[in-house]
Amino acid sequence: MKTFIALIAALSLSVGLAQGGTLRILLSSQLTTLEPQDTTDTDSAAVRFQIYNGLVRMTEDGNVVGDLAESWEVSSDGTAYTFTLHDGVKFHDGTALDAAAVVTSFERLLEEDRNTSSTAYFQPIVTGVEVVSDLQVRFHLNEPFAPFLNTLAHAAGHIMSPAGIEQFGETYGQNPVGSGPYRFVEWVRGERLVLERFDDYFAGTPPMERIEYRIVPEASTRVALLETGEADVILRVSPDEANRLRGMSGVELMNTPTARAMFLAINLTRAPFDDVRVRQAINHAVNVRAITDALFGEDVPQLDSPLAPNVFGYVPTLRYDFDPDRALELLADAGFEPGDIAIDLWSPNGRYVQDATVAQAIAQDLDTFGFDVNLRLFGDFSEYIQVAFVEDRGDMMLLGWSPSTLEAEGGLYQVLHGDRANQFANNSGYDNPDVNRLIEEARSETTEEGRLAKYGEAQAIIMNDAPWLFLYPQPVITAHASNVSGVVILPSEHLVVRDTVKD
Amino acid sequence: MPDMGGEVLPGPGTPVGAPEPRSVWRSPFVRTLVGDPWTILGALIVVLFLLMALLAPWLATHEPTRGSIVARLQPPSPEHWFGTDGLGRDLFSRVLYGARLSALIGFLAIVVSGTIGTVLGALAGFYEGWTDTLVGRTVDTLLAFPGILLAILVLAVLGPGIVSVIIAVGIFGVPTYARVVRATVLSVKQFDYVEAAAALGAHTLIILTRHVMRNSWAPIIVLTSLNFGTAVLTASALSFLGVGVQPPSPEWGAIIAEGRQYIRVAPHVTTITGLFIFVTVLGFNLLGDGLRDASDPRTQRR
Amino acid sequence: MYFARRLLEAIPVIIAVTFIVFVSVRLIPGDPARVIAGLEATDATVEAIRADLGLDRPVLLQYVVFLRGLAVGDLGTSYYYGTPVIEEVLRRFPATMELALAGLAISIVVGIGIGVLSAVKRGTWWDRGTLVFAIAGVSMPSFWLALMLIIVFAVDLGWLPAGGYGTWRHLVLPAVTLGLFGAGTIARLTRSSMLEVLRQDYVRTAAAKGLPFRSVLFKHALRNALVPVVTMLGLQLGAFLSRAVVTETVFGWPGIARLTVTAVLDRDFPLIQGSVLWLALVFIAANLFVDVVYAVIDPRIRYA
Repeated sequence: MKTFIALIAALSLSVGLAQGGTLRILLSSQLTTLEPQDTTDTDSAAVRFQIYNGLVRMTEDGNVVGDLAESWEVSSDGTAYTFTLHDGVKFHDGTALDAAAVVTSFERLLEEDRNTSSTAYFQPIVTGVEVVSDLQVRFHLNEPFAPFLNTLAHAAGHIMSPAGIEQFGETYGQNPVGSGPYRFVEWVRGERLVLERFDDYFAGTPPMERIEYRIVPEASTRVALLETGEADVILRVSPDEANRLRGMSGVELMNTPTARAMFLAINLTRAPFDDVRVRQAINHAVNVRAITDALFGEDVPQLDSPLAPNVFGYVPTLRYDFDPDRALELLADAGFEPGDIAIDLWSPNGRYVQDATVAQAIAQDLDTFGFDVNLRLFGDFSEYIQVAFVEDRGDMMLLGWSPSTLEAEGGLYQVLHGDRANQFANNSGYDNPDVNRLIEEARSETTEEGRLAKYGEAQAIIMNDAPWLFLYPQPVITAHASNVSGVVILPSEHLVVRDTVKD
Repeated sequence: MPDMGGEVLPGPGTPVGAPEPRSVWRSPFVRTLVGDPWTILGALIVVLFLLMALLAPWLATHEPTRGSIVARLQPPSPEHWFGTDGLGRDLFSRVLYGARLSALIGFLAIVVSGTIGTVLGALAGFYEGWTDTLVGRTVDTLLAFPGILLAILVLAVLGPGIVSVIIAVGIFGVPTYARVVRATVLSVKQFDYVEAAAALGAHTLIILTRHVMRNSWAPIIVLTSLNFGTAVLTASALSFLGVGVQPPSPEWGAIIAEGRQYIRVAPHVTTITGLFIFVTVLGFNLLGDGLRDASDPRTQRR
Repeated sequence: MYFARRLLEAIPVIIAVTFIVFVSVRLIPGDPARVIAGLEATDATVEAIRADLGLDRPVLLQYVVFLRGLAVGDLGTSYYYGTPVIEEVLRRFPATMELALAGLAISIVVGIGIGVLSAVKRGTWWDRGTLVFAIAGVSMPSFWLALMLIIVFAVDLGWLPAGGYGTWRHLVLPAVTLGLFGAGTIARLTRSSMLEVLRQDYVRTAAAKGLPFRSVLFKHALRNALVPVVTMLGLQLGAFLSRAVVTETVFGWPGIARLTVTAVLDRDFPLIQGSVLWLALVFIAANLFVDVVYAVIDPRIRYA
């Protein structure tokens, strides 16, 4: 009992001391790990992006600029990238971040039997990394890969401290050591995580003294905490709450269109969905615009490409308007009446903004049209993956795909290339040889125009083939206190508070 | 299970061997029952609830699972008496069909609890000794789990859906039934006339069954009423946590779960539905309590 | 001696509980090896991980391994967090205990207070009112109550924080949500028990002898009336923890009830097993504690 009271007292005291200089951010789910090479969830990223640096980084507008690297050169054949690092960069543990450190960090990622979610980004393309000089690193690729810089800006490219790797090995995720503006202090699982200013940050003194993350799973509680002034920044605000917060004094909203394309993959391997006319009919039978207007407001467009508009390579291609008559025609052509077709529609619940609501609205539309719809929601995303992609397959499966590299390679390959057919995330089983070829060719195109042309062609074919029910690019709403400024949400939905200040 | 205070066992006062009253309607049981206004209220609520459940298809003004997204989150109006939910579905109709679902779940869950519980209790009471200990331990095991966790585990194994919910909630209620039946069997076994009848050659099982029924009907009815309320509450909690009945089913807990995200913008969804759960469970508890008072000679009006 | 025997009896229960959980957890659809391996992993990797976790061996064998680990206090490593289960469990447990005790305190104070009052003022409107209050407390869906409380006290009035953990203020709303339910039950039980006792001869004798009513009340009546209440508290622990699950979820309270639920949803076998085991132990300990209190309150028991 006594220790417990002391604990409470200590907690209260620590909260008091940190006032004036602490940024309080609320997250919705448990953090998994802070190891850069092994995780893909957005909440962990909200922490990692303040702890680590990469050679390059992404800006709000989707451009790639130097982070640790001052400058870089690409060889004429496009297979060698040489980066020159800033001088005097230190890790949180005091060791120097030089070319050797970069190489060690990457070699760890490229190890033969290392199999994490991030290796797929680098292993297939990078054949070697080497130290050229104290501050120069060179990457060798097995063939020219135009999106390489974007890939490096990805979280998997964050540089880890070799000394830290030595010391912590597998538990690096619980004891992260980076070079970023804020260093890791403590992590009380399921509850909070604390970062502190890193005074030796190479790019200048970070503005805040401390950053405190708290896990609050209940959405309305998060909003309430912001309103009562107990939190400064909250992520993933639902559109309904946003409507209520709009115009409220003391609170500011940020609406970020992200690179996440939301869609329902249609299972082409199963009749009658193998008939393109049926798939096109499905697209015409749902009033996507009405759904997005009602749920997200009028700023959210309907997808007219498998890529979101802020992804490099996006070309406005074809929009499927709500046209039940046309849908009936197409079905009739294919020899069906709506009532003949049963659809198993699956969706995660709570993974994406309003996912369950959208899925139900779509099911409603399809049902009204006449299909026999069977809706199934999965509260647990890993169960969804397991059942929807590995063990069984629904007829239509909701998914949101965001290429964190912000360009078309990331946005198309895993979801629509034949090599990935019937694996995550191409669970429509789409395999069109022309599209496959175009995606591959675009990789080795040396000019931007060349790439755009290839991607444009691919998008045209894809839209016509309608392997998906195309929805919308997911909008992400963030809310923060008015006295906080400099909050950045990247198009990849990642939170960057490096330059965030609180008055 | 909300044990409302006071054991629900057939005690020494159970009206067996007592002089039979002239008419059932004048018996202490019924007189106590109708004399207490709160019990009447409870009974009224239960009746209304059951009526809602039965007549839902005729009373509903709209289809419970179809709505127009454009009409979402509207407050109560002449067209939508309770307003609409996040998908534009009429809340009044959903609540009505939700009553139907809750009634179904409650009823079937009790069938499950009652059946398994009775069998277990009878076995334990009849055979005593070894079987009794085994059953006792099983019941203890079930009690060792906080009910919700047990239900969640069961649901995780069986997958979500109404059938799984019924089973999970049913298992939950087994211990109380088992205890009542076991105690009844134990006490009945001791009656002289039972031994006498057995000596005369009548089949023990039949004697026991008849007397067990005669003696335990009161506590069983009380339990049923109370457990019905618990079943509704538990099922809604499970749906609320996301593991129970799945959308678009209008189960009350699921409606609240869905409504919780816009509780500040459109509180009517959560508030109204929550109120229905509350009042319904209240009704069953009031009734159950009244029944208990009516069957216990210590609190009966004579 | 009595307690030693009870302790011994508890062991088979614990074994049964853990075994049931162990088996059912493995019946849950979904493959933790695949989830841990990640989506892009090859089948070979998944197999390797499965072997690593020991999931490819027969269930009984796995259970034996688990028991062995148990003997040395090792409950395994959480799939999701990667940390030892026992660490996670012990880290969260104090929070739930805090909540449970606070809730219990509210239940007891409010419940006994109301129960005694209504017993004493039997038949009046006060008596009726408390009855209804009691039943209402039990009938209310706790998640609904929690949400309503947050809206009124945290947002509209701003008196209390809307969720989270840290100061005594964070404890108030969750404790009230949890405690209200118990308060009703205890009130009812106290009332009926008090009525019973007040009718007893020895109480009437004491009153006839001229002892002040107050003294009669507290010294004699209450003591005996509390006996069934205490028994009931032990039984209510399970229901209490059930309500704690919902309460912890809605308020974001970092306790073990919520941990267990998320563990089940995440299919985190070791964590599920570990926390269920811990809860079972707690439950048994609580029951034993209740027996002790029981013996203290009622001297008749001690000599039995």
